[in-house]
Amino acid sequence: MLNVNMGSNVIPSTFLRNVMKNGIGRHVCQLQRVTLSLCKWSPGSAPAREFVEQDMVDFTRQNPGIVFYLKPRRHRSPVLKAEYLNGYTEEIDLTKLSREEINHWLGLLKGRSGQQIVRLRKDFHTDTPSIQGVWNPFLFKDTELSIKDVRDPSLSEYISPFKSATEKLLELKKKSGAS
Amino acid sequence: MNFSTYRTLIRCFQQAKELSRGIQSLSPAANLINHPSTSLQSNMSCTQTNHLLQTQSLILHQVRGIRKLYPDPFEQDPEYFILPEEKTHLDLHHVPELDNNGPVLSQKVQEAVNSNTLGRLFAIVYIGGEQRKITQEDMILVNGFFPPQIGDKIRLEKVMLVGGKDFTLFGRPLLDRNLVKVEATVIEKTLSHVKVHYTQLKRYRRLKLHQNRQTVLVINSIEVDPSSLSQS
Repeated sequence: MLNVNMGSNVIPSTFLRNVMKNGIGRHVCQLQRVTLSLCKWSPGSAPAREFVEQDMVDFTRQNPGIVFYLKPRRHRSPVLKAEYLNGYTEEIDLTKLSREEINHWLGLLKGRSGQQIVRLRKDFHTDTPSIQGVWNPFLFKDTELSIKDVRDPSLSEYISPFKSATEKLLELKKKSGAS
Repeated sequence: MNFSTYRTLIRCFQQAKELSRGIQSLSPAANLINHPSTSLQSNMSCTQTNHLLQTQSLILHQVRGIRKLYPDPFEQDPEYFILPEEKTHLDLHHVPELDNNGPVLSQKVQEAVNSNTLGRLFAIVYIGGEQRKITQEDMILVNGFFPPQIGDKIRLEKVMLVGGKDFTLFGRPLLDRNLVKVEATVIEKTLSHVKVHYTQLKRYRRLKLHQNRQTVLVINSIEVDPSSLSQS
């Protein structure tokens, strides 16, 4: 659902959702019905007629789960109407579209899951956000930290990235002592 | 230089490279005489083809009339990117962080798998130029060009990490293909919401509307086969 509690100045947004848990067991194409309304005479519908003559049968053969209707619509531009399993319908005006473009739009309708195109807040969805436990800043840290006073000088000590001369000398001493 | 001549040039370059490689394989001793300084086998072929590479890039420079700071990846020798086996293959016997107990630990993982106490697994896969964390029944959205169609079951091959409740396996950078199997189904191919690119300058105003392609995947399974761990 769209988030209702938003200001008027904000693009409406949703989260990524899986309709009917599709694809977890079996995948079901969500597009169920396509209706192409076209005029059999007007030149505006010529590409749509071309589509009917050349590509429609192929499409229906490749997608036996999708019902394809043809509907006459006199002296108007052709329209493609798609109906999805969840009851959502989408209409595309095919004015000035070529046959290839009609094919592209049909392919897009087939790929969709029957949800409105809205801005998505997250590009993932998970029911189990963490398996090894959520990280916190005290993970794998010394437990002594939890009883240490905040004003302890050891916490605010500067740790140099370089070795001091005394440290180097001590190291040398250690090495010579070992050998 | 037009595109076709450029392509022929590249082809000539590839042929020359192959030829030089062939010569090397035929007479490694002669090669050693030519380059006495190089000791490694992988370095040898690099030095052989080096001047070829330079000539090619020089010609390109002349034609383009530009100075390049970095060589293009395709101009470099592919062997330059090949890592030694010790860096690409996990040798469990020499992992100081595990106190060289790698084999024992991997055996523990195997036992866990066999006793069905592994629980839910998660993985980090490289997909669409991004690293995504996934578990079973997750959904991820891939932006941009992605050829699989809806209903296709695909296997995500670039797995960088697999973890369970008690263990984590890191790839360097990728895990072995036989070790993990991540399967996903494409459930949706849509367009994003309409993105507005609006620019306004002095006496210049443009409104561009754009929708990019999006694919939604559902993760079906993440499986670990620990038998390949013991082999390495």
